[in-house]
Amino acid sequence: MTQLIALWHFERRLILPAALISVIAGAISRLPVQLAGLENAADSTWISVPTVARSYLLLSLVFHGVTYELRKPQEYHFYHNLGLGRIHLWATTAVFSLIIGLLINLIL
Amino acid sequence: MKLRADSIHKYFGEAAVLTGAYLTCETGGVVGLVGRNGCGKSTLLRVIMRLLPADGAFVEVDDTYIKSARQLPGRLAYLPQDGWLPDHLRIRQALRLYCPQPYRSQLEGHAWVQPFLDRKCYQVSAGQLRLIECLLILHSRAPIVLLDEPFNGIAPIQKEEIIRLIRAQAEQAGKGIVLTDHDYRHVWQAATRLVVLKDRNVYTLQKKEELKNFGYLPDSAWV
Repeated sequence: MTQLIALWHFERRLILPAALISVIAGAISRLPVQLAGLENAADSTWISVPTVARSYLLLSLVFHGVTYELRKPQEYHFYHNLGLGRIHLWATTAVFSLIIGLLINLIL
Repeated sequence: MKLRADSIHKYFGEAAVLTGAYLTCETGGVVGLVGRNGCGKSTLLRVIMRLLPADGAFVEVDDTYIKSARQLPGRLAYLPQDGWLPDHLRIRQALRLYCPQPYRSQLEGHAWVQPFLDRKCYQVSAGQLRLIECLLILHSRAPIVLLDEPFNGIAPIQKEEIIRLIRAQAEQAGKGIVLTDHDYRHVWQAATRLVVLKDRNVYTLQKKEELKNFGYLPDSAWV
């Protein structure tokens, strides 16, 4: 249980920025279609869901690298003491982002 | 419980830092590890914790071979030199993750911790945070604790309190503690056994005066 809570604390720092930029990327990817007036009635959403999902998958890994490998590598020690090594944390981020990416695709 | 780190070999490129180093620590004892700058004290602790890949290392706590982080909970905990508490975490959340009861309740009422309980780590000054980090590790679940320069950035009066706490955790709570710091007088005060890292190996000292023989203190130093 302790490890699950620690993993949540580790991941929650990545979720918001990755999700925010993914949504922006999804909206921007639809801009040319909307500006050109090419959207049809069946596809009139303001956002491209597949782009959001793919961006999230990529960006959460990028944010993991920037936050924990470049900016705050010493924070790995906190999780290491709890039994969560660096490889474990990278794997968790990959799995977590894959799940969230799939959920975005399924739900939206 | 007993920590046994044996045949520790570590090279950085061609440079040998540790060649067959040996270190033990039993619960109830405080091992003071001293040595010159760059002699490999932190490297030794990081290899023991499996934070750094070694060219050879046998580390066990009782009969459990420590191969990776997975074996650490409930056995070993490490206080690194630099701030390691996640910035976005509140002190109370860190306590919940690290400290079992009744330690957690004790610390929540501790004068060094209580005013900052609901602050995030980045909102606490470096010195205060160091005190909290020391308390957190010393009251963690692990029976063996490795402290790398715990007195960094701590006021003299609070150093005395940390020493008292280290001794208390060893004698009363039965923890085994490995302590390294450049403030050798404080290490000497806290330790029940002193070892020195010299020429890539660890040697046990019988008397403080031997620190001069190992080239750690100048001949003129008063010990």
